[in-house]
Amino acid sequence: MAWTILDTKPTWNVTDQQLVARAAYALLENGNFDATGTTFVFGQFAVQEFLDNANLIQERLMKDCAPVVLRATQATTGGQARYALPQDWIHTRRMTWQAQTAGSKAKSLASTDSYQLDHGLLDWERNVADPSVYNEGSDLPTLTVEIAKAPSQAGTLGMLYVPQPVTLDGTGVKLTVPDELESGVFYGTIGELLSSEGEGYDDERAEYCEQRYQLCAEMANALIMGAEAPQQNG
Amino acid sequence: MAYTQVSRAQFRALVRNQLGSGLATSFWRDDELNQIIQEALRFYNLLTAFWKIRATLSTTANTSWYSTPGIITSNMRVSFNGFPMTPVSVYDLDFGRSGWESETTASGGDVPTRPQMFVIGGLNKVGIWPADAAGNNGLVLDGIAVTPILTSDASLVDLGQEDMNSLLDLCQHIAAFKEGGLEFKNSMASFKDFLQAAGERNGILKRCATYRRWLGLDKGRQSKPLKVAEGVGAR
Repeated sequence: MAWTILDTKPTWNVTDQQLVARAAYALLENGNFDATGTTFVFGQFAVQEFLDNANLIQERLMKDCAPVVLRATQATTGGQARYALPQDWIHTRRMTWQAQTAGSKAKSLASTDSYQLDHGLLDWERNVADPSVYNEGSDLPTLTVEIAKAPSQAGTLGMLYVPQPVTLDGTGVKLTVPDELESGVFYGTIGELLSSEGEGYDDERAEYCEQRYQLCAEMANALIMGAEAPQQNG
Repeated sequence: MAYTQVSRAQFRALVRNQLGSGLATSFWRDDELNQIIQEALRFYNLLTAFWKIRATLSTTANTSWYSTPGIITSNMRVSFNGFPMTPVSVYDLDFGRSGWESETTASGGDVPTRPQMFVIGGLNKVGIWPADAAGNNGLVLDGIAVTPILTSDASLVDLGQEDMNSLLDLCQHIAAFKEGGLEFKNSMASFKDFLQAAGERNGILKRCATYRRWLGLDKGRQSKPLKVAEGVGAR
């Protein structure tokens, strides 16, 4: 059984080459020329190093703020509690289960962990019922979700999840996050470079970059959740 | 507010003035300043939701979730056939109206006969409750527009004149990043000016921990705690 992904990953306008060009200027890697978007002139940092970190930061931003979500569904079998998650899964925003019976509704499942299950739903491993919770806890194999109790009948799992962003490889790939979050990816990445061991080490600017990333993440949360966005403790 | 249209060339010239750097081949190249301007516009839009736009979708029968059009970064309000809808959170619907995704305007009972609420699932996804059973109705989204992209020197951007000063402050600060050291540290004053101006436009920004830390807004509170440890014994 596999998930059916109902959406395609959106792309906006900023490309990885634009980020590389911008980084070349910010790190004085353009020499006396316009930045090409494919090379760093002096080699204090490598373009691949930048791209590797940009991929990590974009993924971190996706997990921190869930700016982009996809919908997916999977058929469930009576009595089976564990299901594999999509290969590009990062984070579950919400999960639902709907019985196959005509007229039944898709009910949202609450997130839980095995400790709560073991102490609050003692028979969850032995009996079946309409599931009410899902568990992605650390006691499960990688990329696995468990619903409890196991469904008593066939049905459909629905999920709104945060996918892995498209990998930036320096060929003009567009970011998976909206243009306005570009600064989060850019400064997060530059911060990683400036805090790495080497001649370019600069903890002051690296700390500044981290703050810029945090501000971007907080504002992204505010865009999604409005005035109810939780404040991050800093 | 006096709105004006500024071309990229005009904007760049103003940034050069701010930096005291007159030549296109000097420390800051034209291409570099173009990118700094674009970054500044996007950051400004993120902090203040400055540019807004409207998009219209056609509903699909019995469908709860819709993809936000690519011209919108984030939805602010949604209306259905001219009737405004109420914003709610995913949590509100999931735990206040269990099974909401399966309800349509034809469900009957206590389910309304036209969509009443909208929910933001992500920046690319908006949900409505109840789903429109008939389809082919108008769903109008008002939201934050994708920041204008200045592709050439003649490209124009809508800006209030009073916004230019704070944007120039931001551009100066971004440009100083590559200098590092004292020059960059000194430019933090410009950055704070910019943040203050952005905070005037968007109150939500003032709740951000990072924003408050940068502007030192909590220092006074920390130095004057409301509760003082009581001493033991007679008062």
